[in-house]
Amino acid sequence: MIDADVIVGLEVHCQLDTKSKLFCGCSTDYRNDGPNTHVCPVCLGLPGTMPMLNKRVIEYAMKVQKRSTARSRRNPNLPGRTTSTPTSTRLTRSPSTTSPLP
Amino acid sequence: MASHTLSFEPDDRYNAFLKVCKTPTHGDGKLAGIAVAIKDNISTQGIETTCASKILKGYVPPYDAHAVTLLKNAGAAIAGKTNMDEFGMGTSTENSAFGPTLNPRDTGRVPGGSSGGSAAAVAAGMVQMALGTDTGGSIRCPAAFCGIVGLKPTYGRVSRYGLIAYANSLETIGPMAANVSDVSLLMSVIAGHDKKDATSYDRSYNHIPSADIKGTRIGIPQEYFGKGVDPEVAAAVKKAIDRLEELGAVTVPCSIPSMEYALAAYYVICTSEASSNLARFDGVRYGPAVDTRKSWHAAYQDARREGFGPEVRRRIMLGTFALSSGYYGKYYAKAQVARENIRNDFARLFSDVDVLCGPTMPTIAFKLGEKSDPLSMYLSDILTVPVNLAGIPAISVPCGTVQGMQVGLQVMGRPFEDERVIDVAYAYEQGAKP
Repeated sequence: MIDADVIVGLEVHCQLDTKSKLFCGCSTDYRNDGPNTHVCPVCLGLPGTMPMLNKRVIEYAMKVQKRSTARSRRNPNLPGRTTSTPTSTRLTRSPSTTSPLP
Repeated sequence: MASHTLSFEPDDRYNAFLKVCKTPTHGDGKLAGIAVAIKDNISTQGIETTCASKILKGYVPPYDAHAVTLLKNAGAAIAGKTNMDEFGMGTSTENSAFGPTLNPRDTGRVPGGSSGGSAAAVAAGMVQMALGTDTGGSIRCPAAFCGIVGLKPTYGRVSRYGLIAYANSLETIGPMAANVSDVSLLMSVIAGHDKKDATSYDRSYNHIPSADIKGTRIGIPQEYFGKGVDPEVAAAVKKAIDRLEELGAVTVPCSIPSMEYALAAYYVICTSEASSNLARFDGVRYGPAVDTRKSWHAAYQDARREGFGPEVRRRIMLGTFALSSGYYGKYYAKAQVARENIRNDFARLFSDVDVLCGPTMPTIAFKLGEKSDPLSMYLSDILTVPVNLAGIPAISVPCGTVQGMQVGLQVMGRPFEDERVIDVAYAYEQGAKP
């Protein structure tokens, strides 16, 4: 029998109660509204648009981190991911850009 | 706001424009009634924007790039969209899906690239000003080859919102015009903070060019006059630097040792970013439709094989390889180290000198079809890419001719000292008496 420790990683997903979407200013209060009414060039992922990360989301993430043993990186140097599909608009941040998040 | 209409019917025998707006409207302001041409990778509401690629044929953005909004607010008339190397990938504007642009000074030669259409439109007098974009020299190279002025602003000083990304950590929108004053005027309209661009800085540009450069310390990097630089071009630029000395500047010989790795680092970084940025072009949401009877992967492959030109496909493949597991550390991570060394070299030099001067391009404009092998084309970017890797401002201003073709003097400055490079270029332009 191999003597091994079991390490379990959990990836936790949670819908955050923010007023606007993760990467643009569109309202998240979509109830009773028609389809495709809360969209803009950014969340449609149109060429040339640039996602802008929701400040509140970072605050929530930091709260989770404070309440747990998680550590955060001072400078979230996210690898250069780009907007690929409208529903999963991802953060465009070049690896070499070292300015702090706004 | 847009209360007036302009009649714009240029005699475009150089294929500078992909789309001409014959009756653009305009309002009042700093640029009231001035026709401004826009490079085709900058989004314009209601005007087809293709990046000179078949994959975006028919795509009409529903929004304006921030720089275009600012132009309209200043009263400019959008004259049309200019030709370019597909997605900005090239140094000659021959890599356009819609045919090359010709150099107005000699139609047997290229106008430079990738903002060749904008440069040719200004050089031929079709428009007073144009917007270009510069990822590795794409404003300065065509400015030099066509004999006009082009500024690559400090990274972050002009919003990139609406610029269809090729290599986002390197590229910027910038002004092009026949003289330094117009470049400065256009810069004053497009610079400033934009909350839609996370890399945008709050540094507006409100500068009137001054020709007083007494005491300005100019570094002359030996690498800018070394191997690969045409001796006649080097001589023309040296003469221009002598003139700057006569005007009161002090020259200091210096060296940028990290330049040895600049070109390699640049091509690894820009292709890597391109591989990621261009993944979105799948033929589903914009551009020509794909055959939906096929599976996703097959349809995606077909759309991209058909839609992208050979140079774009080459760069996507190079970048995908550089980022792939097992090679990332060997290429991409090393390129980032080289980039840091280049930044450090510039920072070291700028603690002693105010600006650096050298040629913009190592040669005069090449003949159409002359650089058929991609590597020889890449090599011609050696004097322009260090600026993009460091994110600093640089301008190209005409400084004499070689074999009848104009040569560009490049002035590079400290981050956010776009005003100073403008002043040195202006001093040369005003004082360049034979």
